[in-house]
Amino acid sequence: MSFLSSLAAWQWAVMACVPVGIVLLYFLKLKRQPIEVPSTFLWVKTIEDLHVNSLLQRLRTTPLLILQLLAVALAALALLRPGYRDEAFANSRRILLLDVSASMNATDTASLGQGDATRFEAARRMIGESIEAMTDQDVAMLMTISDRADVLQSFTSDRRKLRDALAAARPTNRPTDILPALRAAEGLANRDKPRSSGDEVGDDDQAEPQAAAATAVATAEIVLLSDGGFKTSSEIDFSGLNFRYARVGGDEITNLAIVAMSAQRNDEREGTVELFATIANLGTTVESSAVSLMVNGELVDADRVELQPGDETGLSFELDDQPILKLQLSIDERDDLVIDNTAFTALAPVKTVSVLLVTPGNRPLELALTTGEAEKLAVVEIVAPGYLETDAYRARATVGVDELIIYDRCRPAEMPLTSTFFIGALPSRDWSWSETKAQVQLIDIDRSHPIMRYLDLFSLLIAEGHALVPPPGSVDLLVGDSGTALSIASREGCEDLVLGFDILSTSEDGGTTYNTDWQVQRSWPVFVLNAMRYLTGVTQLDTQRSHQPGQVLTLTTDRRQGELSIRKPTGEIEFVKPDSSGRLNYTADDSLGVYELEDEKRVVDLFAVNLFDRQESRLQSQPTVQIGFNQVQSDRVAGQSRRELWRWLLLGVLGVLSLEWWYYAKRLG
Amino acid sequence: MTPNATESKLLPPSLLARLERLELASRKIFRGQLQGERRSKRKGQSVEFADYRGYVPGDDLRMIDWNLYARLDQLFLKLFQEEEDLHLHVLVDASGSMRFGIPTKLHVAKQIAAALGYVGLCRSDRVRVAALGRAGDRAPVMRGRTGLPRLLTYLESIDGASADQPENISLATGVKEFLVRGGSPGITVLITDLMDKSGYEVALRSLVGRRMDVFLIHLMSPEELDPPLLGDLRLIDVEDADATEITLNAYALKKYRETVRGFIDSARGFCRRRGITYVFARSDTPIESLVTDYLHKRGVVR
Repeated sequence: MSFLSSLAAWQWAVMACVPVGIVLLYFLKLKRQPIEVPSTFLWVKTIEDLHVNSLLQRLRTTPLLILQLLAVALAALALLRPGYRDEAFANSRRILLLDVSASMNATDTASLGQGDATRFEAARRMIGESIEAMTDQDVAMLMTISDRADVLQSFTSDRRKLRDALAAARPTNRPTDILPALRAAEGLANRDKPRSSGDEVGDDDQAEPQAAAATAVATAEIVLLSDGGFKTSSEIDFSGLNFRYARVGGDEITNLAIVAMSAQRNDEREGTVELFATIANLGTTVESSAVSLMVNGELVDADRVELQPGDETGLSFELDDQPILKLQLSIDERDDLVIDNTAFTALAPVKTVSVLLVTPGNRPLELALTTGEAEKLAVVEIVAPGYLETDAYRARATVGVDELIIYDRCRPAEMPLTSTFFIGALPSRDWSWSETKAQVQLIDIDRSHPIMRYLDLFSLLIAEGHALVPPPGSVDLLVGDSGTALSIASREGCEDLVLGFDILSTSEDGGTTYNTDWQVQRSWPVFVLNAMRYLTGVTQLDTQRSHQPGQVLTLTTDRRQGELSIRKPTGEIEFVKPDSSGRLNYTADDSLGVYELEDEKRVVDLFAVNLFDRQESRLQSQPTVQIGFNQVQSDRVAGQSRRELWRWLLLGVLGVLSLEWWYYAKRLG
Repeated sequence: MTPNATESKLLPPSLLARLERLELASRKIFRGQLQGERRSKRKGQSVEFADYRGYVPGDDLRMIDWNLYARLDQLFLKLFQEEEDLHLHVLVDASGSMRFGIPTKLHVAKQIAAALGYVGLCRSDRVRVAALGRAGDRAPVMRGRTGLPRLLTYLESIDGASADQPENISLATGVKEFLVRGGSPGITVLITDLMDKSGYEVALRSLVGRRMDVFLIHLMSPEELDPPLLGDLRLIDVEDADATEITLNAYALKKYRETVRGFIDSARGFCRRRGITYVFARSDTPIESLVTDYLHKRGVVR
C-alpha cells in the first residue's frame, strides 16, 4: 500500500480544519432535551468523574457526528490516493525507460484529460505511479532515451532516489535512437548468476547491496514509456528481454512540420541568396497555415501552405545577400508539436581559403586549381618539392596556415596540421601500399561522399597504380581491381586524401608522361573542386548544413590558439578552445536556433540547430513497437502497475453520507 | 381501629393487624416520663447489658467501658436496655426531591411513617410524626391507638396544598428545627432520600448528639437507581432549578450507577460508625413487605 498525495501542504491544512469545524459546529449547535430530576446532586458527581474524557464520551453517542467525521476521513484518504501494486505486474526488478526525445514534447495529451501538458509529463506521471507502487523488496532503475541513453538512477530499492531522479528528467529536442538503451538494458536485465550491486553497470550505489543481490538472479522487466516514434533494427535479437511497452499519446494529431531547409548564395546571380524549405503535414487532419520568413529578426516574406495529411510541399524564397544572414522560417499555426514549426539557418561571411600545392610540375592539377570556381574559393600557391626542406614551409606546416596542402609525388618529413591530398605518394604515417604497380581497373565508387559527388569515372583509364592500404577508420572512395585507389582518413581533426596512382608520371629519363586520361575528362576539375571544398571545409560555409540537437560538429576557424566564444540561441555564451589546426569539435545542445561562433565579438562562423526529423515529427503514437524480431504490443498498464483505491473510497464517502442522511431523517421523524 | 384508618391510603387495613404485633427496637437507655410497656435497663439499677459499639466524638464519656479500654486500648460504649415508655419521633423529608417516583418517595415515606407511628401507638409510646420544615410545627404528639386518626390526617396533610410548592429546606435545617422544637431523647426514624447538596452528615450528627437512637430509612426510587435516560440532556434540579448538561450513554450511565452505589455505601458507612441503623429501601417495594418483612429483618421493628 502506498500513497500519492493530491494536495499541497496548505491544502491539507485547510482539509484538517474541516473535521475540527464539524466537531465545533456539533457542540455549538447541540440541542439538549430538558429533563427534571429529583436532584442533580449525584449527576454532578458523575460528571466530575466523566470530566477527564467527557469529549470522548460525548462523541460516543453521536452517530451523526461520527458518520460525518467518517465521511471526511474517507474523503481525506481518497485525496491521499492510496494504491497497491498489482501482483499481475509485480516484477521485483525493473528497468524503466523514459523516452525524452523531441516527439515527447507533443501536447496532444492535454486533451486526454489526465492533466498532462505533454507526452513527457504523462510518461513521467506513469513512471511516478510505478515507483510509488514499489515495495521495499523491489528494485528499479531509470534510464532516459533520446539519441543516447542516460542512466538517471541505477538499480535501487530507494524510492526517494528514484523520485529525485525522475524529477531531474527533462524532455529534449533530440531524435530517438533506442538501440543504445536496449543494448544497455539487455546487459543489465539478464543476469545469470547473482552479483553484488557493485558489479552492476552504472551502479555507483553501495547502499542496497542486499536488495540488489537478492534480486540479481531475476530477469528484469524492461518498461518503455514512449510514443513509439523510433526505428529499431530487426537484425538484433532482443527476444531474451522481458519487454513491456506503455504507449503515450494519441492517434489524432495536428502537425505541420518544416522537415528540411537550406540556404545558399546564388552563384548565378551575385548578391542574392536562395532559401529552400520543405513543409510536410505529418498529422492526421488537413492543415493550412501561413509561413513567415524572418531575416535577422525582421519579417521579410510570407507564404501560405495547405496540405492534406501525408502531403508535403516545397517553398523557395530569394533574398538579398548580407554579410551575415540569420534566417528563420516559422509556421504560424500552433499544432501539437511546436519545435518543428520553426527552422533556422544562417550564412556566414564569405571567406577564401589558402591552398599550397607542392609539385615537381603538374599542369592538369594547376589548371584544375585555377578554374573560375576554384579561384572564388581559394588562393593557391604552387611550390616545388624542395620547399619542403625550408624553414618557411616548416613554420606554415606547424602552425597550419593553409587549409589544404596538396603533395604531388612527394611527401613531407612531418605531417602538417592541415588537411592534405597526396597524389602518388603516401602520407608519412600509418599508410602503406602494394610494392608493385599494376594497371588499375575501377570497380567501385562511393558516390555518397561529398568528394565523389557528380563524378562519372568508370570510363577512366589508369596505366598503373599502387593498391592502397589505408589506416583503420578510413573511407575508400575509389576501389580498383587490385585494391583501393582513393581513400580518405581522419587525423587529429584533419583529413588525408590519398590517390594511389599518379596523374603525371616521371619517367626514368626525367621526362613526364600521363598515367591516366582523367585530366582530359570533365570529372577532373569537378573532383579537384570537390576535394578542395571538402578538405578546406568550405562546403560547410557556403551552404550551411543543419545540425540536430546533440550532434557533434567540427568547426574550422582561423584561430589556432586562445579562446573563441559560441553565442547560443538562448543568448548564453560558451567559451571554446580550437586545437592548433584551428578546428574544434562542438556538441550542439538542445536549444534550436542559430549558434554564432565569435572571435573577440566578431562573428566568424554560424551554424543552425534544427530538429529536421520526420520520425520525430510524425507524432501518431504507435500501438506496437519493433524490438528486435518481436512486435511488442502497447500495454497501457505496463507503466501503471498501481491499482488505485480512491474510487472505492469516494463510493464509501457517498455511502456514509447516505447513511448519515437516512439516520438524520429517521431521527427527525 | 377507626373508620379513618381503614379509609386511609397510607395504611391498608390488612396491615394494621400485623403492625399491632410489632414493637420498635431500641438499643439505648432512655429515661421516660411514664412507665411504659417496654423494659428499660439502666446502669446501676437492674442493668442488663445490651451491646457494645465504638466510640465516636460526641458520645457521652460516661458510657465508655473503661475496663475494655484498659484491655484493648480502644474506646467502646456499653449499651443497655431499659424498660420504659419510649419517645418515638418519625421525621419525614418532604423536600421536592421526594416527590419523584411511582409511587412517589414521599408517599412511601408517609406510609412507613404511619406504620411505624402506629407500631409506637400500639405500644403506648409517645409518638410524634413530623415532616421536616414548616409542616413540622403542627405535628401532633400522640399516645395510644386513638392517636392514629390524627396521625393519618397529619400525614395526608403533608401531601395537601403545600405539595405544589414543596419546602426546599436542607436536611440539616429541617433536623435542627425539629430539635429546637423539642426533640427529646428517644427513637428517631428519619425517612429521607438524602438528596441534599449540602450533605446529610450534619443532620445525622446532630441527631446522634442528642443521644437519640437514630434509624435512617434511605428511600430511593427505581428511577434514581437506574435512570431510563439517554442522549443529550439538560438535567434540571426540581429543588433549586440547577441545570446540568450531560450526554448520556451507556458509559455515563454506568458511571452514574457507580456513583449511586458509592453514595449509598458512604451513607451506610457513616451511619455504622455512629450507631445509626441504616436501612435502604426502594420506593417500589410494597408497604406490607417493607414494614413487616424488610424493616423487621433489618432490626427496626421486632
